[in-house]
Amino acid sequence: MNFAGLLYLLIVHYLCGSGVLRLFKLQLNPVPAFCFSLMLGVPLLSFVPCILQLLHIPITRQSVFIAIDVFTAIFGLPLLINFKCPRFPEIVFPKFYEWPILIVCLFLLLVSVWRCFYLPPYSRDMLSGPELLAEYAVREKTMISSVFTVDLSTSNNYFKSPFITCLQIIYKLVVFPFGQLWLSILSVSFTLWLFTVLRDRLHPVLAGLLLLLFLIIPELYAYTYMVLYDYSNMVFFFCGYYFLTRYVESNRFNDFAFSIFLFGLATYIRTETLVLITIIMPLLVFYYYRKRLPFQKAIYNLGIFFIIPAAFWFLNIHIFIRQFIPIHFDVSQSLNPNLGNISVFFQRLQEISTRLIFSQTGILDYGWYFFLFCAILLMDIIWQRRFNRESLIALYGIAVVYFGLGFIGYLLPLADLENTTKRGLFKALPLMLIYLSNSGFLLRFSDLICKWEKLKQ
Amino acid sequence: MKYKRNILFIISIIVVFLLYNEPFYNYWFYNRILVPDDHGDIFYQVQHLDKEERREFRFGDSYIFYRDLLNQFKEHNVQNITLLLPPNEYVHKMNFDALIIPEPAVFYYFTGVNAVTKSSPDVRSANWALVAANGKVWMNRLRTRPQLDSLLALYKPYKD
Repeated sequence: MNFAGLLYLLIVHYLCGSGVLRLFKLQLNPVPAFCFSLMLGVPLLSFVPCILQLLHIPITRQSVFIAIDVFTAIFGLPLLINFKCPRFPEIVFPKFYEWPILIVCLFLLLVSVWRCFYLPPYSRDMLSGPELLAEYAVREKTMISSVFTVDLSTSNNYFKSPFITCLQIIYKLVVFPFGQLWLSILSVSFTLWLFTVLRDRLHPVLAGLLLLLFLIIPELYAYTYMVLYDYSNMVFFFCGYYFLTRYVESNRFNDFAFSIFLFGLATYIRTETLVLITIIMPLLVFYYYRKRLPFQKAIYNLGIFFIIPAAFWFLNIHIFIRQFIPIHFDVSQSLNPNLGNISVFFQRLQEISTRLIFSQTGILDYGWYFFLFCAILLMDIIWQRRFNRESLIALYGIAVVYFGLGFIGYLLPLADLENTTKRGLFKALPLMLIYLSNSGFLLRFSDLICKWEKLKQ
Repeated sequence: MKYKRNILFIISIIVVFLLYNEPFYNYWFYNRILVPDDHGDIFYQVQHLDKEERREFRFGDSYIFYRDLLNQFKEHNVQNITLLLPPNEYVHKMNFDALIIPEPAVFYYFTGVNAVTKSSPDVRSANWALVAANGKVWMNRLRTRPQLDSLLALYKPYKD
C-alpha cells in the first residue's frame, strides 16, 4: 500500500472540502468542520477522472495527479482569498466514563477500516459494474474500455453513477489496487461528526450509547467496508437534511444553499434521490407559509431547491453516462409501464413495514434499532407529548424516506424490495438518531443525569 | 463529583456488557466482528497480506479455478477466446456444487477472458467451451458449428 499516496489524498480531500465550506461561509465548530471537509472532498474528487475522460486525456497516474492538483487549487481558492489562521480546537478529551462505550465504537471502526483495506470489492453490483469499469479504465487508460465488448446483458450496473468508478480509479492508481479506502474516510468522518451532534444535545453516556446502537446495525455496518452507493448516498442525503433543519431553525441562507449542494451530491450518487428531494419540498412550502415569505421569494427558493439537484441528475444521466457508456440508455424504459395501478405503491409500503422492518429479516438486518426508535417515539407520544421543532422535522424526514422508497418502488420496477429498498432505508437511520437526540423522554433523562452529576455531595 | 463519575463509568461498562450479552448482538459480534475462523481473524489476516491470497479468500474456490483456467490459456498461448460457460444449474447437476459460474461481466473481471452464456446475444461467437461431465471439468475447442449447437441444446433446459 502506498501510504504517501493515501496521505496525499487525505490532504487533498481536506483542502477541497475546506474550500467548499469556506465558499458557503458556514459557521461550524472545528471538529464538525474537519469532518465535513474530509467528507465533501470525497465526492468532489470523483469528478476528476470524469473530466479527464470528457477531455479525452488518458487516465494515467501522472494525469490524475496533475488533475487532482489543479482541482485542489481551484477549490482551495476560497481558502487563499479569504485566508485566516486556522483555528485549532481546544482539545477536549472525552470524560473517563465515556471511554467504555467509545472504546467499543473505536474498535468497530478499526475493524471496518481494516476490512475496507484488506478485502477486495465483493458485491455482485460492484464486480459487474463500477469495479469492473474502474479496473479496466486503469489498465487501458480510458473509461470506454474493452469491458463494453463483453456480454453485459445480465446487469445494468454499468449505467449507475460514475461516483464509485472514479473514486476506485483514483484510489487504485494512487493508493492500492483494491481502492475502497475512500469509504473509510467517509464512514469514520461521518461517525465522528454524528457523535459531536449527539453530544451537543445529550449527556455523553447517552450520546455514546445511541452512537453505539447506530454503529451496530448489522446491515449498515457491513456497508462501511463493502463499497456500494447506499452508504455514501445516506451520508450526503442526511447531511443535506441536517442543514435544511438548521436553515428552518436559523433562517440562514448559507445553510439552505449548502443543504441544496449536499442534496445535489446525494443525487449525483443515486439519481432516484431526486424523488425524495421533491417530497421534502412541502416542508419548505409549510415553512415559508408560516414565515409569510413573499410569494416570489418562496418560489425562487423552492426553484433552486429542486433545480440544483436536478442539474446533478442531468449531469449524471445525460453527460457522464451518455459519454462514458457506449450503450444506448433510455431512462423511460426503466419506468413502470402501468402507472395507473397505484396498488403497487401501497403494496410496497406494506412490504417495507411487514417484510423489511417488523420481521425476522428486519431484526437480522437492522438489529433492535427500529424497535428502540418506535418504543421511544411511543413513549414521547403517550408520556411526554412534547416535540421540539427539530424532532418534528426529523419525523418528517423519516416519513419522506418511507413513502419515497414506496414511490420509487412503484415508479421503477427494477428498484426491488430486497436490495434497493432495503438499502434505501439506510437514509432513515441517522434521521431516527436525530429524532432520538431530540426526544422529549431522552432529553429529560439526559437533563436528570446532568443535574445529578453536577449536584454537590 | 468524582464518586458520581465513577458510578457513570460503571454504568457505561454495564451498558456495554448488557448489549454484548443480548443474544442477537452477541451472535452478530462473535460471528461477524470477531469472526473466530482463520480467514476472518485480523491477526491471521495481518500475516497474509498477499493480494492474490486476499482475492482467493474473498472470492472463494471458483476464483482459484478460473485463475488456473486463465493460466492454462496463457501457457498454451491461446488468444482471441470467447468461452461458452455452462449454466449454474447444469454444473450443480453434474455434482460440482462448489463451482459457481459467474456472469460474463464478472468472469471478465476475474480473468480478462471474454465469455458468453447460452442466453448471450452473441453466443454464436463462442470458440471455446467450459464443459462439465463425468466428474470432470475441462475446456474444449469449438471447431465446428454442430459442436456448439449440441452444447446449447444440452444447456437449454437449465437456468443460468
